[in-house]
Amino acid sequence: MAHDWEKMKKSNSDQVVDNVDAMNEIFKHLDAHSLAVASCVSRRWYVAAMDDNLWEVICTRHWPASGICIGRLKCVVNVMGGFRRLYVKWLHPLCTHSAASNSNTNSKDLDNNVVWTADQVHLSLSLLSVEYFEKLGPFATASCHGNSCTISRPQLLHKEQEKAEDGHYGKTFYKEDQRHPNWMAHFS
Amino acid sequence: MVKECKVKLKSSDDKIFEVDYAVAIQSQILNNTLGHTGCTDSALPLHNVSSQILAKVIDYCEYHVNASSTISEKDVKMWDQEFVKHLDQATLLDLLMAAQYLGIHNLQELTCQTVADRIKDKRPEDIREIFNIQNDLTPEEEEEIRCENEWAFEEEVSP
Repeated sequence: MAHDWEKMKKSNSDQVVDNVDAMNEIFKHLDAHSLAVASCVSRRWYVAAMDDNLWEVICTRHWPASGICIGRLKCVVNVMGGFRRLYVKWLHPLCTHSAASNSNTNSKDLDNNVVWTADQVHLSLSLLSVEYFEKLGPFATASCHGNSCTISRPQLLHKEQEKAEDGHYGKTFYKEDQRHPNWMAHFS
Repeated sequence: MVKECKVKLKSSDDKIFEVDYAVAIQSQILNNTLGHTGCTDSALPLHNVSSQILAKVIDYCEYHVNASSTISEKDVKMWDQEFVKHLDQATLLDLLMAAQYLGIHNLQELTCQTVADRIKDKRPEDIREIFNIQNDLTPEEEEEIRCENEWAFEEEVSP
């Protein structure tokens, strides 16, 4: 009987694991942390957990409440690396950085309870676009201000972004950059 | 108009179950089938569902048909939690597959949520144990994926 139980357990698990729809349905109920850990279980689970539709739900779950229109942004995010990238590289660190400055909070709890503000989302989207722009290669490395500047324009903007966050600049800094209206709106 | 007829269902191990029409049509598949054939005396074969699991599915559907108008949503949720609480992993997965096969959306959601709850806050090795999954990643692949997801293995946010 014990042997039959083990065989049955294996075949049930195989059925579910082999069923892409079933795995997707289960993963829809996971938070970001659990989804990331699940991707480490096996090859099939890695592929299933990398489905960007799952990460889109995680990222955008609370956007309507923040007044952010998902439809317009979705195709842009997809082009610039997808929602998983947006979450892992920008939304999650931004959220944990903000929370860490307030209290000692477990990052798993943050992911379960987080409701990003519109500003946090816009900042993350802007940083995602900067990163994407930097990767465009020669196009992105035009010298800035007409000088023989070795740093690329997006890298410069990124560094300046960090300075602005630290309070280094006042309100008028970004007026010359017409290509990043989100940044201007955020810092004006 | 609610039909009063009974519907016969045959499990994969050839056991016959008789249920009310309203209970049967909780399943989208059966709803579609009965919509074409109407109520008949012959049993509808469910090749992928054993008698043990079909009995549980029928319990679930019978409760939800009766509960829809008389019991509060909160109480229904409590009943659902009790329904899945003590299910062993094999039965839970069987129930999930049956709900998917039969197209019973609520039961599918409930079983998927329960499986997800059992995955949450577990390490990959624990998840493999629970689901009896073979780790088919090479050490290098596993290391690479762990690095990719390093942020998820951090316990505390450092101030």
